[in-house]
Amino acid sequence: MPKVTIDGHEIEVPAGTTVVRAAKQLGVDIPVFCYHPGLSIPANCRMCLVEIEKSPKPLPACYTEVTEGMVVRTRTEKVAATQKSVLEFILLNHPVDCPICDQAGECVLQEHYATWSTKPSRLFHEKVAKPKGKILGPTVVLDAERCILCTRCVRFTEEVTGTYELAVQDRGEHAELTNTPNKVLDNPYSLNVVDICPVGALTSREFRFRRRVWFLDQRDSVCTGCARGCSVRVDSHGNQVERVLPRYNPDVNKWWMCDDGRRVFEVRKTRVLSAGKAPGTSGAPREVNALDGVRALAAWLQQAKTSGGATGVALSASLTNEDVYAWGRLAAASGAKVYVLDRTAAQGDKLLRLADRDANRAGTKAILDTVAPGWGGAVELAKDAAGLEVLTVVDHDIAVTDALAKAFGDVAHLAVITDLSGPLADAAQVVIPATPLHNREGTVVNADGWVQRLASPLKAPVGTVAPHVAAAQLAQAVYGLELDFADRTRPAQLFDHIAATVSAFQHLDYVEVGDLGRGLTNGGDLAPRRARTEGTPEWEPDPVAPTYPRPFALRRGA
Amino acid sequence: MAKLVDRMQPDLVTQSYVIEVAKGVALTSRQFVRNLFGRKDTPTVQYPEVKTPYPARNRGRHRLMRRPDGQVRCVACMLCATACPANCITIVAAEHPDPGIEKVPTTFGIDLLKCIYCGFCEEACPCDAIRMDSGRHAIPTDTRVAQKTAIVSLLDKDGPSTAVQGGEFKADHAGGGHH
Repeated sequence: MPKVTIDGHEIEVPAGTTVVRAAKQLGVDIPVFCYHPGLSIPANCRMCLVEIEKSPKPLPACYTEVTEGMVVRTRTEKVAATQKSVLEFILLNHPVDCPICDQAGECVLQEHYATWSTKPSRLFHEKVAKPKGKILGPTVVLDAERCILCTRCVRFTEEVTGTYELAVQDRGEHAELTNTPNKVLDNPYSLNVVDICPVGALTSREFRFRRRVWFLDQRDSVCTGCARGCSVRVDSHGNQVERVLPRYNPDVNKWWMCDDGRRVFEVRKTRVLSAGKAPGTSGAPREVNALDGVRALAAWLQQAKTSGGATGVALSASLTNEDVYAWGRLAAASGAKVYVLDRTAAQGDKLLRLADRDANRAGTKAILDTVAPGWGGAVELAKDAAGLEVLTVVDHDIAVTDALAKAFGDVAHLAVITDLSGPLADAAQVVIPATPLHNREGTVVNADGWVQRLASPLKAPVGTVAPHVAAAQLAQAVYGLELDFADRTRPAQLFDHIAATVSAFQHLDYVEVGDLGRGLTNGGDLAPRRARTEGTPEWEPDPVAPTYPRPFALRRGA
Repeated sequence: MAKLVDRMQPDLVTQSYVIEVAKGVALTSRQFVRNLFGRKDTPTVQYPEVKTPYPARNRGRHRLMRRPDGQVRCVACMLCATACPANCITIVAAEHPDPGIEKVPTTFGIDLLKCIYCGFCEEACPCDAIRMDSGRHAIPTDTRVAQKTAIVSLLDKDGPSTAVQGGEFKADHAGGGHH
């Protein structure tokens, strides 16, 4: 392992490590534009030039690999002069329209200029005009004047998606980012180019102009669009989600996420359940809130308990571990059979998207195996349906197939706890409004057995109930048993229960799961045992998570 | 630190108050008579029938400036909303049909009940789009109903100001009293 000295600090790093990464490990900040840890290294922006002993000229830190005894200096007069020249060159034809630029506030160029240069422009000619507001595809729009030609987006379409939709045409000051001939930027990961664009050249057509970024509150969460469970950052303002960004997680999604995942909130918003429903005194359905809905369901369950009728609980595979645990325990205590139902499968691909769109299949399986062994699926439900007196469906976007629709029709009393309107809510006699999955906290396990924390900046809508809380209420109301989890309404408390009860979750801790997640501890037919990726050879690129103090971080409003 | 003060020791004549009361009555009477028979330099005016003109740098109700072609100057950069300490400015931005203009406000609302007339918005504005020189008074209203309509859209309440960039203070905006 070569030993390298950077600004007087010594560090030993594996051979092949670049200077910029070694410096990052030491906490020495070397400014970069074109370098992105997830892409190849073109060294074309020259912002990272540093002095290296025995080299006659400054070398790009992003491309230069460390060698034994290398001495690097990043804070010399020569380096400072180089950085200023590079910035002056990059800013030569830049429109500097920061007030109307959507990137302002999280712009790498703004930050680097303020940190490393602050030199005024010496240009007295007219700036080169290039296309503005050029539509590259259904999701992304380009302002070619703001582009600094770092080619991050070009490399993304070449190396990550392999779609080759973007290219730089012409030379010199006329060089310009554009679509490759006869192609539009239209792939399932297209919005990642907006995230990696260090300036405001590429903007999302959806988020464009919606909110200045310094008004946004940020919350780390998990995407619930499919079983991959990408780490995301949810940016919100007021009680409204404005955008979803991928968050660097070496074990799950690296730096990327798919466009569908970013739209999960938007899509669900269009289908949100307006009100619950329960049979009124005259028999006609009436609108109810969660509490009255739970009461109506409790009355049915009480009846079934008295008459000895069979009951069942059907769980979506997209619920949090805490929901599954509470309902599993309730079902086991009441002798109800448990079924797990799925969402409609989607098309997966090799990069991130999975065909299985259920956010928590692995966790559901692991927990039910322990707390409600003998659970079944849609086939078993179809078989048992006619004999069930009460079936409670804890729903999140369950695909109602013909067989399932028939099964729901066969059940004597159908109750649904759901956050979405749809055929299932229409079919049920009792509908209890659930707190939407994206408004809740809890944990989910992705397809690789990676436990991550779900969090939301949104408030739970009034009159809704989280499924695990509904389970606790029913346990107390109907079965008269104070299940040991019944007063634990906080996900962290319930998670401790799960960790103590379910072997796959052994040694896991809600706090320790943190924002990057932990692997399930036992394998079986579940995910292989995995340890957290150690060390920090790669880091999250600056545009997504600025490390500098943000000027308006404490302000809210407007 | 405490400081000792010598109390005045009035003599007997003063203590009788007769002369002092007469002095006071004389002062009041003199002022009364002077005002009654038309003293010209009295600072009191018969508001609201009579109004004093606002000083030139008075911060009154906001107005939006226009470009020479009549469009709103505002580019919806939200810097006024960012600078606003009362969080009273609501702007909704949208694409402009002209590709040369990045964005344009479709809503520009100011909650005048929240507004503290500090003038930070016009200080922050990079393109002189919002000014507070309308000469119109802040939002005293005669009725509660009028108070509820305090969120005014500067785009459509009265239409954007007719003043163009660099325009002079227009006399027809002065005068106040228009709620």
